[in-house]
Amino acid sequence: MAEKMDRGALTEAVYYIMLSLFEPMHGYGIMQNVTNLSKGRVTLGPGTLYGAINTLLEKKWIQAVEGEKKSRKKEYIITQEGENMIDAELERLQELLDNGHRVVGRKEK
Amino acid sequence: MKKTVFKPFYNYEKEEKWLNQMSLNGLQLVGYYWAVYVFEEGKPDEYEYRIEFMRHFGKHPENLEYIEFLKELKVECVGTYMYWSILRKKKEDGPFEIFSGMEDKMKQYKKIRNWWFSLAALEYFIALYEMILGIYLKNSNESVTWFPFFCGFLLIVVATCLFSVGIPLHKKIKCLEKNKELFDN
Repeated sequence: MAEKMDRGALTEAVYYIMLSLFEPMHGYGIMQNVTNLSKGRVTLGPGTLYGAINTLLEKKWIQAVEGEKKSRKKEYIITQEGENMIDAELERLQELLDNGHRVVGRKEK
Repeated sequence: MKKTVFKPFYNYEKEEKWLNQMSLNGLQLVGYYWAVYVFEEGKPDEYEYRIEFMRHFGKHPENLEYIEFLKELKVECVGTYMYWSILRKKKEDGPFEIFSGMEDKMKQYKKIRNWWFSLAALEYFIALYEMILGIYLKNSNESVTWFPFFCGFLLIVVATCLFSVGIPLHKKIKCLEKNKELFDN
């Protein structure tokens, strides 16, 4: 049951947060990085970022960086499980893109 | 120079608008306590204000943890009241929306709608109790039968007001739910 639930599309916020965390980063860094990655299209709201970080920690897709756990400004990094999720999502997105280009490209000819 | 204003609000969106208008006029909110707003004169339009309905009541440890986290993101908590918190961010630090993504926005609207609807339901329930009490007293020939009816009537008026605060939010949620069939975010 839980496995099936994990196979939906990731939200934009979660996808970009996890991409950011291929390097260790704290909250403010994630927010800035997501704005940069999306060239200003996606601005993470603080409430959304807080909720997403907590859920991702619970799911163990990201973790707090060792040794930083007691300091106030926590840094986070993606886990192996999280990387697997990103791989699966990339595959899904690739399929969408490929099919889109194939169909639309055919019509343009 | 500090300025204190007493102004009760039911509609948090109107409250937000008012606070941002005050900010535009150079009055920055620095404190809140029971519908009393304390403003400080400052640079016009320096801060943007937002109101959030939090996950927990009052000074719950998770609320405090959240407010600490907000500080990291350059968001300041000016005041809290029950589930509500008034937040602000300097305009120069970028745009300020508490939630991005439709799912989170909808969750927030739902929490606020349910808050008003449950308060209204509680008042309707007490009103019903008062009415039943009134009928009981009338049947037993007591002299103060008008009083429970009066209370009951008053409660019904208040409950209907509370209920009507939740209605625009309810409509917004229904509208977003339709969009959700088409969009992921």
